[in-house]
Amino acid sequence: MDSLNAELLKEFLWSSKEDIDVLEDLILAVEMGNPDSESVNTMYRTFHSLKGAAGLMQLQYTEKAAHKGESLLDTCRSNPAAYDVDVVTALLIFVDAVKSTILNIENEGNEGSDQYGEFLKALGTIDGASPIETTDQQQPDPAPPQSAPPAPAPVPVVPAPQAQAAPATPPPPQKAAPVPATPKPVAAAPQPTPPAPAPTPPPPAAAKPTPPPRRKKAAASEEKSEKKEIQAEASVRVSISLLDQLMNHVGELVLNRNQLLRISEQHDEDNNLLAACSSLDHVTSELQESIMQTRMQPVGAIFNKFPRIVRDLSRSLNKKVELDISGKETELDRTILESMRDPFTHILRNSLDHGVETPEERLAKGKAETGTIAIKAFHEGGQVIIEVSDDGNGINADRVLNKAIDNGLLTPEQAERMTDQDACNLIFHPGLSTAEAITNVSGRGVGMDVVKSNIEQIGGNIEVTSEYGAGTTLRIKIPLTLAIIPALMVQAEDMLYAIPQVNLIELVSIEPDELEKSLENIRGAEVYRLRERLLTILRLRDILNLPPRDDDDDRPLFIVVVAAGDQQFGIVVDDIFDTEEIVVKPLSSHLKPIEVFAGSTIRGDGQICLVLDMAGITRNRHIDTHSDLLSSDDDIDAHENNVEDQQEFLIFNLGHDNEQFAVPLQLISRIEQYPSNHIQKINGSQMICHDNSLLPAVFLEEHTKAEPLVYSPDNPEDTIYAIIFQSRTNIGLIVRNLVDSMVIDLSDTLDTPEIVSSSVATAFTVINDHATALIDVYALMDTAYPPIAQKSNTGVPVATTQSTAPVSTGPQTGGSPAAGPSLRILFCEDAQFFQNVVTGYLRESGHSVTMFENGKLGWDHLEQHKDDFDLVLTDLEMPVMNGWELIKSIRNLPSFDHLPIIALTSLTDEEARQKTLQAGASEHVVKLQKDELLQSVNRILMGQAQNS
Amino acid sequence: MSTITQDTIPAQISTFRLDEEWYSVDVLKVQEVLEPLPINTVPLTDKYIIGLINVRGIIVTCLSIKERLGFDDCDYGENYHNVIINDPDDGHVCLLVDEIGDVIQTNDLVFADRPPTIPAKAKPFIAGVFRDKDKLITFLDADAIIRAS
Repeated sequence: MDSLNAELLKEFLWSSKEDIDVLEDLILAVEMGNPDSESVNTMYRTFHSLKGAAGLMQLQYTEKAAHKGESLLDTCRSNPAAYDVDVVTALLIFVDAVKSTILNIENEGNEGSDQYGEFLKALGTIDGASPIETTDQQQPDPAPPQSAPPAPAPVPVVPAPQAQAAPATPPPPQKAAPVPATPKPVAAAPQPTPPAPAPTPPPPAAAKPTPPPRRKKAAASEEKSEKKEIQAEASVRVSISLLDQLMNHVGELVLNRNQLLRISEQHDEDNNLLAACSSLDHVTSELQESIMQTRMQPVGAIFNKFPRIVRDLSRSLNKKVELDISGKETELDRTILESMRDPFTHILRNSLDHGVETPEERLAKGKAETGTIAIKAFHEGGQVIIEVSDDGNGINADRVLNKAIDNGLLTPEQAERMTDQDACNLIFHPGLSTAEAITNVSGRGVGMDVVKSNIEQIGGNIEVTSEYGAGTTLRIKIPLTLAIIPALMVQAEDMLYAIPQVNLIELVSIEPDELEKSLENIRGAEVYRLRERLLTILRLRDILNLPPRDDDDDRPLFIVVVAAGDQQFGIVVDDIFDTEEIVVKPLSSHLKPIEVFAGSTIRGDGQICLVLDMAGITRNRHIDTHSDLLSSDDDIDAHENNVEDQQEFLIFNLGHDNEQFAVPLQLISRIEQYPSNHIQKINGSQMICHDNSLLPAVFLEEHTKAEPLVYSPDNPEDTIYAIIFQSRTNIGLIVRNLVDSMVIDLSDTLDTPEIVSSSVATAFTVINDHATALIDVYALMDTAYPPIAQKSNTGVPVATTQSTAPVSTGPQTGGSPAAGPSLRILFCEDAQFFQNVVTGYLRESGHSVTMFENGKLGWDHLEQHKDDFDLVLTDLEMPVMNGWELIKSIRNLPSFDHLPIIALTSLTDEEARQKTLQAGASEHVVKLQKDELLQSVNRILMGQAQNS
Repeated sequence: MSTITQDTIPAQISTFRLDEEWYSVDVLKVQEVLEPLPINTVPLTDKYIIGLINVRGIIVTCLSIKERLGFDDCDYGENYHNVIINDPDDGHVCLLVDEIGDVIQTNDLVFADRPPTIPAKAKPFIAGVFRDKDKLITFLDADAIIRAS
């Protein structure tokens, strides 16, 4: 194709895209009911120009289809009653077809052959409006597109609608003809009025009485589309990379300006200099603002998709819903906007599926038959607020609470104390679905936690308010831009570092004389008790591998409390400075591997300052700097001391110095201190009664071979600790003393002597010369409180809708005995603790597990017993052959194509996840997340059941 | 890494001194040479990464050629220079040198492959040697030097 044509084609694609968007808007705006003449005319014109352009570009199929659409609309133009649901559907199908054609042209250079099949079919179903389509389909080989009229038509009326394409032919007499010929006499009724004298658009339509309520809307969108056209003329298309580049330059200019201003302050005797600087100051600020503007896009860019979603979905759900969007013009940074697309779609689907009731229900409640979903976007206090509200059923706070209690998220007592508002916010909790039946549209709760985390990722937040029976409003706050962020400047040694404000929770300063009391367990890992909560303390100097601070005890200790994901921790810094607006610049490839840095920035004085990455710090909290950072994949020896097998444990005892226990810190939700006499026996069970609430108490000696807990319930002064775990049921493990919290390398545990081990105490290690038993928290909970009413909240429809048997977490496979209720699992893991724990709960769920200590052993076995396994579960960091290598080996053999692989890891970051999935793993599950793992296993089981 | 043949010898090389030896890179790789700028050190990095400098608002990573080539004494004196190299991936990287020399036409020079006796550590970075009468100028592979390892 020569360059002229290529240029033309590009132009065609561009204009078609715009046209088709306008068309779609218009179709949806008019939707059903009688359209006003102007809307139909606009649609007609769009089809017409599309047809012309397609003809010019020799896109035969598009031209032909556009022609048919044009004919169809012409019929509607003269007979508004013909514009019915089927027509709308056909038009929308056409819109989709054109979109995919455009894609096809862009990708493959041709329009493809089968894009319009569905459209033609849809036209065929339109009764009455245009008999032509039926005849057309009967023709085995339709004549070449342009020469349609002369085709020998079996039905006399055929040429009529087609004639519109060629206005020269005299249409009026024939035009009237198809109408009496239609099988639908009703449609014919209004027909006599317009014996249209000419095929040109306006006159006949002008005569039509247009239904007033629809009119306003259509006119509005008409105005809008016209405005759009005008705007298009007055704008220039600029590539996004150029804009980003501009943005960068301006960022630098701003910094230069700041430097210059600083210098000019030192020369305040020179008025000329001062004047020049101040004007530079102004211009730079304005320039910066303008450039920021170019990155902004109206939220309408994503909202425009919503009418279509609502329309399609409400029809498939048999609901009547009107979507009311306002504030489309509110602008947001492009990158933010893009990342908001999915969450909003999800929210909208949720509102439709669970919020708005069916028309019958609505009428029964005395509401209008048609529900409304309103989306409102506006600026408020430097942020963009987007509200999505529906006038549907609202959230039933009681049901949410019941569900939360069932799932073990709350105790009944906690639930009691909750306000309805708090209860509503529970919908953001992972795995809480109040939908009684999970539809394929959504199960409210399944994805709301994802929505929330997506929004929080870009520094926004989401709140829900709901009145049961009256509706729900979601209020989403989003920052205007990501390019410039506020950050707190902190100091370590002689350098400044920036902590993004998003991560910041609070600042704590501890006076030197309080230091002893407040910082506990100063050995290995430090913990600070902040309002009865244990906060892990990291020292910035340790994180950065800098020498510790001199012991000048007269200075207070500054702790910056930060959050990364769900984790909160404190960072001890040398000093705290102001918050500054910083422009974050990416790090060079030399520095990227250092995960504790997110980027760098230049401060007003020209100094470079590194931005700390809180998520990176959590990943890297026990830094073994060089071996960890610089280890490459083939460097197996370096993995001997890998982070993977290191978990932080809380170490405690029951009052006997020579007997220690440890539980993973990750699983602890909180620790409380109670007077010993609060432990009471109620109805045969030990309970902690505190503040009018009951907490089931678990004594370790009842489930292991431990010596009994030392405590004196008669002494009112005596206190014990209760460790409360993050789990389905709230239980308190009663312990005497908290000894320490420290990292234990699980690849280094002792061989477990049969005599001392039990299902609860799974592995042993030596800590500070004391033998320490590692407690399997899940096993402990299961033995202490057998999961009678355990509802596995798997998110898998079968499992949630049926009450599953207590032990078998395997889903019912719905009459496919081939798969059986269990899987044969090959499990590779080098750390004995995890071996025991994971194997334990998999076996408990009815699966059979074959264990190997590293990838190599597992792989050798798998190669020899190809058909013996349904699932491979593997740790990632292992000696000899690591998990990634194992996954790759498996994926390299075609016979294992369908063998699912779950990677089990303590690497929680997205990068590791991507790497694993890229290697070919089916799932990536974080260690010690029992429920998550079982869910993944169930999903695979489900998939298998479907395949067989 | 690229091996240099007689055909791919750059037309001009930019020379510089490290300790008492002379080195060079393809002049087309060099964007500019700057006087010393304040260097911000970065914790947790490999030794060859000296730190970050602010070149007119662009943050540039400074690398030590001496570390890369395995010099015994990797310190730079007070009068070092920053040679800013264009990096196709990262924008710019800065190399520290002790003294900056002339830009030399290579058609006057004799090119030889790198001698087999150079230490293994330096091998990946050395592309060959130019001889200018009695002076030897080691030719460095700039891409290899600035590549992250």
